[in-house]
Amino acid sequence: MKGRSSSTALTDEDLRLDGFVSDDEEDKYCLAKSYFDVHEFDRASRVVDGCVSSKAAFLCLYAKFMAGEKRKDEESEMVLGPLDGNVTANKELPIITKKLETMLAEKEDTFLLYLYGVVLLKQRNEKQAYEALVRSVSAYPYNWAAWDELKTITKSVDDVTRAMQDLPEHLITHFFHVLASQELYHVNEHVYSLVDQLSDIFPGSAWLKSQRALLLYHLKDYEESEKIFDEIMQSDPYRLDFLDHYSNILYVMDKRSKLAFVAQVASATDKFRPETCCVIGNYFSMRSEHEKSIMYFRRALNLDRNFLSAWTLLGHEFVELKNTHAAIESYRRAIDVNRKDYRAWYGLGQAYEVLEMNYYALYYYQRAGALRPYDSQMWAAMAACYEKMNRPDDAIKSYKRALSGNTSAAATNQWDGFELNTKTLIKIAKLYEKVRRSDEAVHYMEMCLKAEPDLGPNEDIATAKSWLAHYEKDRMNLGRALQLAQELFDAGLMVEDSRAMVRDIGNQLDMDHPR
Amino acid sequence: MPNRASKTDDPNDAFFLAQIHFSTGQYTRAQAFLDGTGLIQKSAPCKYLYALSQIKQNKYEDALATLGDESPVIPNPHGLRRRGASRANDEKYEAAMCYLRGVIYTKQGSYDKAKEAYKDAVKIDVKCFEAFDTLMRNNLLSPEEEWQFIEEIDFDSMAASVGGAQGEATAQFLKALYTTRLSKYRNSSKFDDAIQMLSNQYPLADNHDIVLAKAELLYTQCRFEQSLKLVKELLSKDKYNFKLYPVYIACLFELGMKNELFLMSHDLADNHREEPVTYVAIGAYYMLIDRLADARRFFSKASVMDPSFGPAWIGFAHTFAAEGEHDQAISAYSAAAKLFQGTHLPQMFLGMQHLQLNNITLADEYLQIAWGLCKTDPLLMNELGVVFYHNDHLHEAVKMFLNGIKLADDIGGDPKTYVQFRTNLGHAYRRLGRYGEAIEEFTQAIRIGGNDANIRCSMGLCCILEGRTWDAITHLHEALALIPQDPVATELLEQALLKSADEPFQPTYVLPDGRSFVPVDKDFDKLLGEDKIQRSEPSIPAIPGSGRGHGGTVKRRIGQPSAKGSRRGEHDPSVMDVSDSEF
Repeated sequence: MKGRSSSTALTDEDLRLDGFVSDDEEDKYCLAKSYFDVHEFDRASRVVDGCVSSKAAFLCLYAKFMAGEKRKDEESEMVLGPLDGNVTANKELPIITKKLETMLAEKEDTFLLYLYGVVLLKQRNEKQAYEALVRSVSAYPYNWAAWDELKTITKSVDDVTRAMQDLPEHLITHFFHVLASQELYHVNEHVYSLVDQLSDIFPGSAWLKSQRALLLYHLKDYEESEKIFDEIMQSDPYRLDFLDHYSNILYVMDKRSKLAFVAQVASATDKFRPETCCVIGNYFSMRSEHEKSIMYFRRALNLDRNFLSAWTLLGHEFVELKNTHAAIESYRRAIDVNRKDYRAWYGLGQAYEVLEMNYYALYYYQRAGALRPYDSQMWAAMAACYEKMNRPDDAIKSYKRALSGNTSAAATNQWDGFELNTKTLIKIAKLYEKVRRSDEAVHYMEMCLKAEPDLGPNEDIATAKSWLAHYEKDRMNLGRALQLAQELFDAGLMVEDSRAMVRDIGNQLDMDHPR
Repeated sequence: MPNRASKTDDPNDAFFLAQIHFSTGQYTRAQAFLDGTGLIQKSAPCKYLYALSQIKQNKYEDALATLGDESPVIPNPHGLRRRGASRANDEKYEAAMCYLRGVIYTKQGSYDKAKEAYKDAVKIDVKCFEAFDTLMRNNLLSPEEEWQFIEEIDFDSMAASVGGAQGEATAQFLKALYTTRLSKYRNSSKFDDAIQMLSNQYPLADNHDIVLAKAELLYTQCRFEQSLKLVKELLSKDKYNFKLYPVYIACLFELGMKNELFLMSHDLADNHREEPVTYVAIGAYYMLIDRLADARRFFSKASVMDPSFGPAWIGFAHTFAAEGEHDQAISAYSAAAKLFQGTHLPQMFLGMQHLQLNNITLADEYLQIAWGLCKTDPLLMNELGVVFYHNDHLHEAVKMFLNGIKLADDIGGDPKTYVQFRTNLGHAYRRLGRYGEAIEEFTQAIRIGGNDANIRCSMGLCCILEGRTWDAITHLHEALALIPQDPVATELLEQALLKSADEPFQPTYVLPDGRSFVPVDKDFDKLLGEDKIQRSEPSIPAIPGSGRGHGGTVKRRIGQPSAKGSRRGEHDPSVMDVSDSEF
């Protein structure tokens, strides 16, 4: 096969990537590639062993790596079994690393650098992996696999900003920026405008549309998100990517029939893709057939052990079935795959709370909170833990932070707005009462009252009023007490209590000012 | 035939007849015949044959009586330049008899005397290769003794017998050849020179003995794959060369190649049941698959078959060590140590066993002896470092481990050796309080050698001590992922979580425009208006009539709530004020 005779002259770029040192190597490469395509990895690796041209050298090591991964998957046997997880490792990694280091010392080859980054990541050596991958994409930006690996290294917005400085000025870098920010649930104007700009250049890109939909999902704007996914499905009916996220959205919106429809479509296209299995799993979960849904999530994981959504959702299912230990294991695996998934951390916290291991639960909630400090749910969970651990001061601090949650982050540019969540306010007040700081307690009860115009009378406000009434009565602030008690009585809340109090106070006032 | 001999009365004829009897296996007949001729004391060949037949009949004491206890006194060999052919002949037999003496002493268990006898044999006749081979094969001499010995050997006699310039060359050749068989621990440069010479001047580069010598050197340096490659090449040309098998078995064992070891031992068992190497191979295979009782059986069989076969004893002792039966292991290793004074391995293993038993001083002694023998074994350096560590000489331990790493670098060793060093180095740093460096070493160890629960636990501990609680928790989680119920990790994790709960938790908030900052608790207090709260008198909830510090008259009544309030029934403006001002 002496192909590659092209009419245009080969540029330096081409030679660097495609250049074969000899025809013999080219033949070997073709043979090896054929073996690789039918998944005979060891065989492929052996054929090109010792070749010098960059493609052949890369294929040799990559095939070895894949062989190791395949063996690792086979040795792991059952998902969530005793051999699953970190216990089984890819045995080829040390050999490959050593070879790569020697090869890279001689010359910098972008694909070898990419493989080096992958291997280092598997060994959890993130610093060096980051350097290797950055070098790889700087030399050849079109290797999306390398960007994909990079996104797992950026763990926080800081990381992304820093990465931006290291990465080359290139179109693909913007794509990466979108991806990384979306993975961090970090939605803001800049990311939006990026997506818009890129859509201008690539108007038909389903990937960009999916990213936009996901960004809206993170902002909890479910309708818009759903609309975009519908468009995508119409324009490309056999596309299965990101369908698992779509099914999550439909699940949250409780749209059963639509979810069933999507599940059918996916299943008809390809039953054995992890995305399809996740969609079907969600469908069964919605119908409360949890065993079946677990089966499908497991199938998704058998197909791809690094499929993050499947682990997290599997964890949720086990929680439903009250199998706390299995849930913990699933959430842990989810975190192993992706440290940034706050739902898995939160799920772990919940599971440990059920097991009454509060210190553990607190740590996990903190991790979730570190990822989403604006989310009041995390802080409320932390505060509940502190309460159980008998640390009212810490609980109070957490509740306060819960109050100042600011979930519509795109709207304002301040961190310090807050909402009057009456439940939380009451809790804070009661805790202050417990630690005997009554001034603060009163303050928060009063704040609770402030919410009345917006929320109307509700239980919490009633509780607040009643408490304040008692408090004022004890302090002999009878006028105020009476007013509060009267309001209560008028609203028809806590009738017995308020009526008694009105009467009491009335009597006392009469006593003071005998007519 | 016998009649004829008696007719000629020629000692040679008698000798030949006796030899015929001997070759046909009729040892008693040969012996009886020689007795009859009365030539035993007069003729060296006859004496030799007589003794040999006695040995074949396992009559060792008698043979010793025949040969005499002492070897003939050897005058300064360098003085005997000119020798006649007959003298040379005599020498051959004298040397052979010394060799026999050595064999007898070995069978009787007096290894020192045997050593001397073998040495004498070679000194008398440099061509007595059996004696030399026996000495070297089983490492009977220590390295110094070996190199000393080779200086004492009279190579010049070779030169003399051949004559002329070629004689010189022959002498050199023989010396080089013998040098390759010596211990590799000392004077590796001389060894290399010898190999160079042999490869360059003579086409011996591919000679099996030389390649085997190279393979053994690689094995000592823990470069198992390269050693294995060489041995395999040799084996492909000469499959049943038993000299190769000890190194071959050892390499396969170290690399964990069960399948090949299985096939090879079956092959040997089918074809060569009488060789002790077969049983060593089988024993090694059983050890590799953790069936230690079976392994022990086979090793003991091998050692019974040939008590001077080193690998059998060491394998036998290893089976005890692997099961934790330290006392048995120690006695077996001691036996090996007595027999094979040229290799440092038994001493090293003895040291390791004593370490397991926590006899640190004894361990130190043995390890020092081993160190005296061989300074280039990475494992030995590791053990010495451990001894220092247990004796609390942490700085020496650190030095030793660092040296070990350097050594492993120099000889290009197997990454697994690095793992040991780096882990131990990490522990030493930890004890010294240099936590950052400890963590660095542990990280390296994990990178090379893969995740290990113990290393992760240690990293967790270091992180806790350094104050990086969240990192510690991550590491301990990894440890628990590997060994789910590990008590140490669980305990450490609880400690870490308790500590973490006490530490303030202040995450970074990232604003939509990308700015980020870290609000503290006080900020939230301020946000919620707590700084504007007007304080009443502290603590007791029901304090009637206490003013709010709002100016005006304050009548303080501490006491029963039933006291008549002097407060007017009016709205206390201060309360409303506080709430109003924030919104």
